[in-house]
Amino acid sequence: MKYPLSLTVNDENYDILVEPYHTLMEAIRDGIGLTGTKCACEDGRCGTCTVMVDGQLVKSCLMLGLQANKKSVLTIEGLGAPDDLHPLQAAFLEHGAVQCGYCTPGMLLTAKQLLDENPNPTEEDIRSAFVGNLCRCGVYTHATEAVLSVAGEEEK
Amino acid sequence: MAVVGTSTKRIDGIEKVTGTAEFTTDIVLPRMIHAKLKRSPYAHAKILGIDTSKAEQMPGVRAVITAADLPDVRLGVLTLDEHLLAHDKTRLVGEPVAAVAADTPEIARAACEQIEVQYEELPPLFDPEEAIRLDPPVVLHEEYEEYEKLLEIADMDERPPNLWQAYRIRHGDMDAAFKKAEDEGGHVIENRYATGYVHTACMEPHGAVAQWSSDGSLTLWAGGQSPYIARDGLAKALDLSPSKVRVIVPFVGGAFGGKLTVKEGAIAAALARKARRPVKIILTRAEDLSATAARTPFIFDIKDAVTKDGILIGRKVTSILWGGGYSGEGILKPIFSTHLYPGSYRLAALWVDSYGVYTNRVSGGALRGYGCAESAWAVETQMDIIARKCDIDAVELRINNLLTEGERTAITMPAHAFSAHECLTKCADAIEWGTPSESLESPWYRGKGIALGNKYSFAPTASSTELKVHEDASCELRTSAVDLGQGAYTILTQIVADEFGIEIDQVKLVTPDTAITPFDHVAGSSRQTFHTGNATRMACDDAKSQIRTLAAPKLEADPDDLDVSGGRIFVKGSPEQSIEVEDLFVVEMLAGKRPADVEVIGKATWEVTASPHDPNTGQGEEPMAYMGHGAQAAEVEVNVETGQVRIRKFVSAIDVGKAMNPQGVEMQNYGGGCMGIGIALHEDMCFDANGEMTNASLMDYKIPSIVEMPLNEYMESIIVEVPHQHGPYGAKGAGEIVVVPTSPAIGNAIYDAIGVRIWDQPLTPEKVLKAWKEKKASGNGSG
Repeated sequence: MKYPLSLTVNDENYDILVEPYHTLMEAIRDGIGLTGTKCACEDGRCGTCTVMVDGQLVKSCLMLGLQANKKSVLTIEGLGAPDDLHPLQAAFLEHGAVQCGYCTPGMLLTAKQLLDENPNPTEEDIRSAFVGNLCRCGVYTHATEAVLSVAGEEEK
Repeated sequence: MAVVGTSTKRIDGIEKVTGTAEFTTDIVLPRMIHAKLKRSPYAHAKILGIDTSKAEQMPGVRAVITAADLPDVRLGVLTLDEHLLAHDKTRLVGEPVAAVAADTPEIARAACEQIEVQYEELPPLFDPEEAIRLDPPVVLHEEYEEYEKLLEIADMDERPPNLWQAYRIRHGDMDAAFKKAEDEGGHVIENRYATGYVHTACMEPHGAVAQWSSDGSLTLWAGGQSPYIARDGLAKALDLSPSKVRVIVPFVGGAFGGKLTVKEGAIAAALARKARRPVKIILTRAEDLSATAARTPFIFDIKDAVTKDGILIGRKVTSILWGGGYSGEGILKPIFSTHLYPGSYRLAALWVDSYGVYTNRVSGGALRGYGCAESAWAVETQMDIIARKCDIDAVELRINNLLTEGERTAITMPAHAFSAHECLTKCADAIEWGTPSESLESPWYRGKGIALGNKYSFAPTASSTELKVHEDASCELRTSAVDLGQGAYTILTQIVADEFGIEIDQVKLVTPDTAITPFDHVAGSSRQTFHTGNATRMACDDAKSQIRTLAAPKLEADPDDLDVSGGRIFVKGSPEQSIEVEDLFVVEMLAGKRPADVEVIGKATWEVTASPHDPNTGQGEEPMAYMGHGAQAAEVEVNVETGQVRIRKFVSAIDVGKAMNPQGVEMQNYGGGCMGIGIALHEDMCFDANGEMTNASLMDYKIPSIVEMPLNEYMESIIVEVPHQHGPYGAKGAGEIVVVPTSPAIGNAIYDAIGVRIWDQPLTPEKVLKAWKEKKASGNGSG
């Protein structure tokens, strides 16, 4: 039996019905239709489904949809728009931190959370932040460069 | 204005960073339902009966199929040995035996559990050396002789019943080489190497969406590597004419060789036909890792004859590819792996016997480097051992054995655009080769290793493209080349922009859709920059030729005296005599101007022919499209108390002929190195005694995370550009060579650090520690 779920995603309110076993990832993708949040491992390892819930980083495959009731969620679609990129999105493109692009949304939200907490991270800080994000194309080196470039901008 | 050769930002990047890129997993169609597969729990069993009645009666279940619902055709790449759903037998754990489509994935999964399959268990066969015997304990394919085969294998007095591939190389006098080495104070060096079970583990799992039209035609969306291979496979599996099948490739979340065929897509299509609804199938991570094709292990027995001065004079190899239940996409690996035995080296004698066998494990597939990355492990470790035995520097030894431009390798490949020397020396300089690693505090030791590699790109092959010029002088490239993340779309766009002298954003790329885009062989074998790149240039030339012909009367000039660039057509030498491309498109239909005059579509096909080598000698004409080169070096830190290996520094120097997009090459150097590090050190599919994978999750099957990568200042990408005579702008591919030398470079560095060899990948802490303890116990090194 489906239950009502009321939440805010990217500043828009949604009232949807979800099964109690549906994860937040499923609620976002299937219930709301925002497919930028990806699913790859189903067990919390890979970080492709990373979103922010009330300002905190969450792997949305590890949270039930109903646990996000009355909460505010930020997904990749809310980070920036094609004609108005967030500086991290622009930096990922500029620094070659995107290959197949499947892990990219999760990496970007992880990077945003890092910069929200620590606007001027070191390379070690960035490596610690990305521990929970897997990328099979191996963009790690470039992703680190991209985040460092945005961190530098804050200083300028 | 040149765009080729610049680090143009990827043209599909905006979609990817904003979450608007639509992958197969994201596709939703009206009335779409969801498929799940019922898989075999046994590695080897007869199927006595399948009862689907309970599943069919479950609410929400729309279709259930078994082999009985499908055409009785065997599928495969070159040996057709596999049914879409298991027919009479299952030959690996996880083989699909039935499929369900239901309103939700949960109902479909529950219905699969209600399908009752009656099995008679058969003894499984896992050991490749047992499998290859003339009298094996078990035969997997009793009807092998009746299978359709599209490739000749080497002659054998009697074929071992589990063998599906045999290939020989007979070049030079092998006995004389060993005799010379023994008689003249040289060395005969013999070792056994093995590679491990590795999975592509793409971040996007395998999946597809299938929809039928009322005219009996099928549309399939699947993020695969070749829409045309997929189309033909679907047509064969479902007994359709290929013209009735349309394959659309959305964004692809990585492939690396793992998405060459669309078996799941064909099953989804069969379900969709029965259910009369669109069907989506997305494999779970566990299914993806345990039941889709893997890079299965090789065993290499390699014996080298070397003069006392370190000149390689003969090499004898016997190898077995540990295939799985079906030959699959691994069918050519026993052949392609042999390319590395001569590799970049001169060899007076080379004898190879290379085999592939069936076992009751996951089928062998392709994974970045296709056999070459595996054989490089044996060959480039051997080179390190030979160097130490001869007391010659490992870089110098390699250089002394290199071919020179214009020579032919022992497998008759011409050494053209031969850059091995440059790759090797630039790589050596970057890792400060010759300067010993710094000593560390116990228990850590540091060491450096280097390795060379090649990747050949296969032939025969072909690419076609179409180039439409629009009224606003923008260009539209129609191609079935696939961007798997490697940047193909961007490079092809750069080519069009360059050829027409227009901006990148004036080029639109129409992505693969067999209803629209022309044939391209496959996004594999590092071939798209080379082949599709050539086809794209040729289509641009064709379109420009059409434009010149249309413009000639307007400019009162001969078409050959005209040039097209930047949206203008002008008389060569007098640029003031020009018209705009858009002037060609003034349609005066009522004045009698025919539409044919205003449609400019350039077309081209680029083809490279090659005849298969004699499977009994490995000799013939030029066997491949081109030969790529690269070298990599690693500095490692080894902890002798735990066996842990850290990569401190990594250098990748690859020859791409011409760097079409230098940042793209750097992405391959780093990304390939990252995958290579995982394969070398920790990626390992594990199986229990029943043949079931025991670590089928990304938590347990460990692909590299950022932790395994060196700090940015210790990552170095070097681009070598030795142009190939047939490459577009001289370019060669970059996608695979970047994983070929990685494992031996790391293994050689471990030896340099602590003096132990581990012969079988991956080089896990357990193995390193064991080898170190054995060395301590025996009081010397084991290499």
